[in-house]
Amino acid sequence: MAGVVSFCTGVEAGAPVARVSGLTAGYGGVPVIEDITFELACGERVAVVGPNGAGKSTLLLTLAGLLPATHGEVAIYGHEAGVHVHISFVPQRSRVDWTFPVDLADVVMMGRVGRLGLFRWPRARDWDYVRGCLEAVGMGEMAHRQIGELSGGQQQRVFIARALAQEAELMLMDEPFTGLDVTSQEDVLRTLEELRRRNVTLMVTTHDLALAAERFDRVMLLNHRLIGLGAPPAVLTDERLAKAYGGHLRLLQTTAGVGVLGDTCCGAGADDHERDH
Amino acid sequence: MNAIIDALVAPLAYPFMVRGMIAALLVGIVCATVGTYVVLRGMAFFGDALAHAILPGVAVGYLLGGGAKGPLFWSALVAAVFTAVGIGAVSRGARIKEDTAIGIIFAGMFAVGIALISSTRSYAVDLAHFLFGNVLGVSGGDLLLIGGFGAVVLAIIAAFYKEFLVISFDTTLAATLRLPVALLDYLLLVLMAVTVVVSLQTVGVALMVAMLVTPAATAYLLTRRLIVMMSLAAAIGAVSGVAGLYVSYYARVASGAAIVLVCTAIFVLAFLFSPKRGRLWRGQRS
Amino acid sequence: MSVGKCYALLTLFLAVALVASACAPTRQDGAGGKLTVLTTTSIAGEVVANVAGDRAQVKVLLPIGADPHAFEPTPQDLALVSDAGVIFANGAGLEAFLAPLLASAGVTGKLYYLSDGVELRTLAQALAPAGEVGQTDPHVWYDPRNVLIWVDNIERTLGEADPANAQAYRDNAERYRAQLRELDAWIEQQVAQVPSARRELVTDHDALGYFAARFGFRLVGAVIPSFSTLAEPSAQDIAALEEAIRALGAPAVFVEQSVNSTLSRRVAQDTGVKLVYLYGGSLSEPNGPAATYVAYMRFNTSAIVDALR
Repeated sequence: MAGVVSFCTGVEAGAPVARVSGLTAGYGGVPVIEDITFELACGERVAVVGPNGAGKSTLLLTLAGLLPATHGEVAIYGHEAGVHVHISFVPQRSRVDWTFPVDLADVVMMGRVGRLGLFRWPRARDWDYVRGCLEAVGMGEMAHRQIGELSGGQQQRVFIARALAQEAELMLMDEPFTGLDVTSQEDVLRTLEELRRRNVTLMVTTHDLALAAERFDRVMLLNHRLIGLGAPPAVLTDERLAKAYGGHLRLLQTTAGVGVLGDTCCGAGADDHERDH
Repeated sequence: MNAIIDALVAPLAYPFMVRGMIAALLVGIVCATVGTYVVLRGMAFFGDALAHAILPGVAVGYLLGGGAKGPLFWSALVAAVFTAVGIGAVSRGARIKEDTAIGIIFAGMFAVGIALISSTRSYAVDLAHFLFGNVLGVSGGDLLLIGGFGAVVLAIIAAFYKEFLVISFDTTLAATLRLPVALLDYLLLVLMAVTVVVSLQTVGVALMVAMLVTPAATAYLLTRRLIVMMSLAAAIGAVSGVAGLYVSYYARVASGAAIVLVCTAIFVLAFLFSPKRGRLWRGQRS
Repeated sequence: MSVGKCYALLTLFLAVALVASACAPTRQDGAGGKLTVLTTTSIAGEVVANVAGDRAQVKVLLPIGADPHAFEPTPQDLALVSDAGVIFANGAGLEAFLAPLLASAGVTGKLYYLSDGVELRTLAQALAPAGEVGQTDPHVWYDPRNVLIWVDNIERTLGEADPANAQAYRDNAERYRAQLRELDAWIEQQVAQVPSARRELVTDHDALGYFAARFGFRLVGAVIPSFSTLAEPSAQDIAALEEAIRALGAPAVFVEQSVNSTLSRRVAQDTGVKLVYLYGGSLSEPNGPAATYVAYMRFNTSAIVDALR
């Protein structure tokens, strides 16, 4: 596909995509996350795990610039978050109006609104680009299906296509795997490979510890404070897990080693209080 | 065949009918286009409230201008924009729900209007026209106002089409794209206000919400894409306006009501005979 | 021309008008070459019909029983306006609401006000709210002498618009004027039966000003202190009115047939006085007691005199 952008080439070697220091944020004066400090390397894939209400969504919202920080700093590419255009935030699926009269091509085209600029209607080449994004996620032939007709996994992939259309360099996804069966999860993960090809930096929240451990470069363990960040085996230790999950966790002794059963419950935790209009 | 042509041509012999039909056509188009957003964003109550909240503006215009149409129009416009922005601001900031905010402001404004009108005690006749419309009294000057403002509203919608689409569908995406969401919201509210004021003469307050909602709701049943929905709604609005006047002429009923009845009849037909959307709209299948 | 013949002609004209407007209309310049005359109220229509006789076609815009202050014309009504050769309106503000619609239908050069030349009253009674003084009372036809002026206006206008029949119009007018003078004398006679102390009128809205002025009655007040039935009285207004009724011992409240009488009924109940129905802005049905202007005035006069005697 023509015009595929590959990131991280313009960035100095070793320079981070995002730098967060001492970040505290919350709602109505009550902090949900406190004193978070970390850096995101260009093109890496990070999974954020933790119990319900740990502040995973809040962290993503702050990174995306949608929630102001009470203390601390968030810097993306050296700019303050909230100024950079090229961040894509995919919310939990329940928040979108699925009965809205738009087809997939329309949804993906919305991602290009910023790129199109004021007073410009999309032209043929813009629609081609959009189709390319849909093909990249394996949904090219469904361009004219209405969004309500899709399965959960397909909907997630459409949002990834939209992020591609946005030419986002940093993609933040809030629980993209929740509620999907294994096949759909695999479809989504396959699509995320496409992002890896383009060196899109990815940060994802999930309840699925096994998935986080197997498929991501680094895992962040969060429970209001940063409990650990690094390669999965280093972070997902007994004591760290106990610290994060308290009593919410079960460790299983299996022949292959220690298996971790995390709480994969759905639904709204304390960190799901986005302001809706 | 000849009888049908005669029936269609007969009312056109009267200039007031021709002007009325042009007004109904224009209003049908503009209301239905703006009404697309009203339907998709669940703002029917807001639209109704706007129409009622114009009353104090009309009353003030009446007091200042002594019944002349010019001052009535401009003071109504001021009242409408003020109400729209006010409701927008209250529901953005306050701790009360938007629904409640609308109810409070609308009832308050309407009461102010009634109080003003009752205090003058003169022929409160424009109240009747305000409530039920007066499309047969449309003058050439009125048509210019309707056409001019209507064109501006449509032009703005065309210019900001994709931005309005994003803020209506996904406010989170809008924020991520750094679109000025608040500004665009207010702009949409102001467009609604202008549409309501410009259309008031045609159907009146009591039936205004029908012009905003019904053609768009009909189009919603018939298509899956926003741009098609909007165009279809505009076409339905235009046809309803003209057909409504024909019905009013031959059935000898009030014109505003006839227009709304035609709109509603078209909706009922679409509701009964459109390919069932129930199966397709049951949300995510997970 | 006798009353019976007037009534028959009126019925005929109304029937013709109804049939004509029920068919798919085409622009016509008067059926069979006759001048088409349109009036707003049925009262005006009947008076005009007396002068026009069978030489012109008279149609009426407001149906029987319609409230002239709150009438919404349909397109066919405006088509009548558009097609008419001459239009007579009451004037003095009665058709204020119709003005923009009439303008829209195009009435330049053919709209005439019957009340031109009538000495108009303004609202100036004891209970008038401040700032209301100065509004013109349009109910001029309650004084038959004003209707004499109407007849002059009609005769002149029809004569100018239709010179071929001018003589017929003059003759008809002369005959009708005689009837009106006879009516005027009869009312004076009837009214004499009411002692001066009891000549007090309480009405639902300020319609009887001219009657009171001509025949020596006093206006105590009105439930809706306005010329328009669309206005709303405040609680204070109702209280003041009931007070005045009790203080002066007024025996009845006179209300118009076509108007909502809920408020008036309440006032009558509270003060224990009678509620008497009069014919107001419109004549009665053709087979009713007030199908012509003369019958209308006789009915109203009798009702008033009987209640107050």
